[in-house]
Amino acid sequence: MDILNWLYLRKEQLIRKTANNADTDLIAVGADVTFAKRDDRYKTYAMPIKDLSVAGDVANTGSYELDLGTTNVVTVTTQKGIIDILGMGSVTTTPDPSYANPEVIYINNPELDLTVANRENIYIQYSVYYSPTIDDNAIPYVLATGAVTTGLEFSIFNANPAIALATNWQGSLYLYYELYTK
Amino acid sequence: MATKKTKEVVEEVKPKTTKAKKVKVEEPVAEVKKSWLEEARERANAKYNN
Repeated sequence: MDILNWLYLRKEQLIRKTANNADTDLIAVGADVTFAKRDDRYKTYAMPIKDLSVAGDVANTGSYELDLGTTNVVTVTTQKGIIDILGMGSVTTTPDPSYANPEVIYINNPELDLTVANRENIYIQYSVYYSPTIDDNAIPYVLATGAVTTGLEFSIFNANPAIALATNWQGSLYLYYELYTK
Repeated sequence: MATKKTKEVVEEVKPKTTKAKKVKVEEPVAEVKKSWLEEARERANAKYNN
């Protein structure tokens, strides 16, 4: 196999922008199998392109918990993540109906420059999951509202104009994010 | 019969000078309107001391 013969690849015009077949094309990977297996501790194996792509995304996805009974800052270390938000409804002001009195939270990654000065280089995507409990008519609406010293700021609103029910915000609330800087 | 002469005297009336009183005029203070975000941040700061 001439995988490392770069001159050959260039000469034969085998440097491509699309896969021949992402289901079957293989990428050689070195796995850390410790020194007990081989002297250089790496052992070669291969993955199809499509699996490699997903494997990288999965490895860059973390699970986090933000308990608003304690703090409103969640520190993350991965490019993507699932944030389980607990303690909604136990804070000073519950997000009220009709977009009133939002709850402010922060996502911080100390490895990234998330200051306002670097705002043009911060990429963020997010989406919300909410499964209301019984007697709960809260409808979360989340808006990104700034870059501050404690991280990226998000405001959680209740989009429902109806009068709040007794156990609003006691359902399961998750925030999914993708965050990196250029 | 003696007649009494009347003498017209025009007294100059000096206008009284009065010192202007210093009156404290309270300038209207512009009402500070906060955005919903500033209010939300203040609530969060009060709760978590960020």
